[in-house]
Amino acid sequence: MSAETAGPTVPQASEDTPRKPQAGAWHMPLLVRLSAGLLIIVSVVALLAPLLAPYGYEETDLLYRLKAPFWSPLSIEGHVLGTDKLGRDLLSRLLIATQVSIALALLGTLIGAALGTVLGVVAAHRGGIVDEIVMMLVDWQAAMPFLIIALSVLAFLGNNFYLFLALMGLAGWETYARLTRSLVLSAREQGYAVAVRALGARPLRLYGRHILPNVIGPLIVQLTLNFPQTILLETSLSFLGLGIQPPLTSLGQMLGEGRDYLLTAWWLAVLPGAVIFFTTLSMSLFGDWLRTRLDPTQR
Amino acid sequence: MSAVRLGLGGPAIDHPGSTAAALLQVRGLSKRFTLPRDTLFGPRPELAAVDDISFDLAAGETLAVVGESGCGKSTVGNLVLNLLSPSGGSIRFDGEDLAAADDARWRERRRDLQLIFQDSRSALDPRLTIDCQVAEGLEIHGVATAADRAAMAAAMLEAVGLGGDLARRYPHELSGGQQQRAVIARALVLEPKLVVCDEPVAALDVSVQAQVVNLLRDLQRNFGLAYLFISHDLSLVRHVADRVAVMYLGRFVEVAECEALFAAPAHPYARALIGAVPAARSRHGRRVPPLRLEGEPPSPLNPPSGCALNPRCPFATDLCRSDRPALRRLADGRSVACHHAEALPGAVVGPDIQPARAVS
Repeated sequence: MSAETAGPTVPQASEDTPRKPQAGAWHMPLLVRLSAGLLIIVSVVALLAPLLAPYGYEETDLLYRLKAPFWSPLSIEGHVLGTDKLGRDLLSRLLIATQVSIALALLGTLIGAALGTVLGVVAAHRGGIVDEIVMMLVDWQAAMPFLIIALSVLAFLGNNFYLFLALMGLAGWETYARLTRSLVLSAREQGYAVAVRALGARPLRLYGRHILPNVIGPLIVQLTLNFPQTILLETSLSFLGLGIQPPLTSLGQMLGEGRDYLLTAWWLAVLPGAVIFFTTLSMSLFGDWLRTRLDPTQR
Repeated sequence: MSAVRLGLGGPAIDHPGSTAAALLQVRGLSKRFTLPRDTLFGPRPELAAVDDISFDLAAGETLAVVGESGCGKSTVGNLVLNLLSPSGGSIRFDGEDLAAADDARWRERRRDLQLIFQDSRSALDPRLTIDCQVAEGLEIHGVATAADRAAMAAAMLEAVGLGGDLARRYPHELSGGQQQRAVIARALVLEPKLVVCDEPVAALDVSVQAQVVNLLRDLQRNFGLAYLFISHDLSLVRHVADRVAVMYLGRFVEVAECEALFAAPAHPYARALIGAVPAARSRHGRRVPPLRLEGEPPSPLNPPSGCALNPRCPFATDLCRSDRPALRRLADGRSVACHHAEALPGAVVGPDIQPARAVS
């Protein structure tokens, strides 16, 4: 289900009127609008979570444990989404968890994308021994189960937020490196790249202004694919107790905690799961739309 | 072919010819590509794409390089542009060996040395409007201010017939001919001295070919450009070239003034090539007799001994099979690499009394 089928398509220019490149170029189908709206809400939450939360996320109230959300007759005043096993307000925790998870996944994905893209370009540009070394690292990373690397690093070095963030960044870099290298290798043989080199351009201009903008489409798609994966990695590690440490919370940790109460209080797991699901889906839909918009030949 | 049929082009351009100081001096140029091994410990096969080529090109002159696909003519273009580094020989551009120049100097000299591609669609960056791309060369070389650069780019685009609204379009919004004009504008905005045109019109349809060729000729007249014109289209070459070099399997087999070559090609391969052009007639209305060559061109990985043409040449003798003929000068000034150039049936040129020279 692509974003294109959800709304009216971009109007085609008729043959007799010269086409204006800007006309309708940024038209959004309905589904993309919904995605963009949700991503804006998620971004606002991620930025302002502590101000929006009605309670502190670590405030316990043991008299009101496992209370139901507002739609249930068993719900109580003041806790819109109910409470968890320690009587902490679920809405407040969900807001803070969204902030933590989005920040981690976004930073992690961006670190991985930047690292992988730079290494991919360097490998393609220099070739020879540099290329061999980068590709060897890529193969090594791809061959090792990353969860095991992450577990051992966290077990040996102890858990701290920045180390965890660095691990998130390392999680996907090899796919960017491989993708970027192959895209750059084929793009630099294109006529425009040869022409820009023949004009006497420095490598920075060649790659920054011509080659990278032309290969950015697949990289953006990879970004939108990698983002949910990073959230899932965070989830797995937090679930195993090596990720975000209580009392700080994250969507993955909430999911892991809520799993014990699936039969009696399903919303504890389902609500953070729904946030993960809709955020990643919106990210994919919006990324797909952005990719086609960024490519002038597809307008 | 189209250009001739349409009767395009004005009077022949008056060129100083090879007597003037050469803008480009190529001596003994070779390029060998090393291929991957066939077997694990076997030798790496070498492919001689260009083998011992020498020529001069004067300012304002057009030298055409013709030959069939795979004979190495595009490699000659890339070597001259210094986009490939030669395996042997030297290229002096304006008295300077660019292969030996350092990075900064090399980049600086790019101003004078430009190229026009066969595939204009891929030659333009799909993400930038064409006026940006034309201005970019000026930007790279730090010419003038941003506003002046934009004006210079607009003027150049105007000169190739892409004024006004067209200049602000993306490449995919232009037709093939317009794209090729944009490529030409980008190459010429820096006012180069030498332009390598690698099949500049092969991808265009016939009517547009004629427009682009005439544009190239007009620009040559106005800017005094030298063209190295790489093509397989002999009628087109006849229309634009001052001198023609016929290439076979990485070597020049005949270098001659354009009219002399088309009137009476001396080398058997040149005869076969020119005799195969449907409408090519000599000045006297006499058609160059067709000469049929048997078989396919041999693989450059495993060239025949002696003259590269000997397995296919109807005139081949034992000498041709054992000794490779050098390019030598005949009485009328052309250079031919054939042992029997004067003795072949129908030869129009007698033996030369001057000592042989490799370069025309």
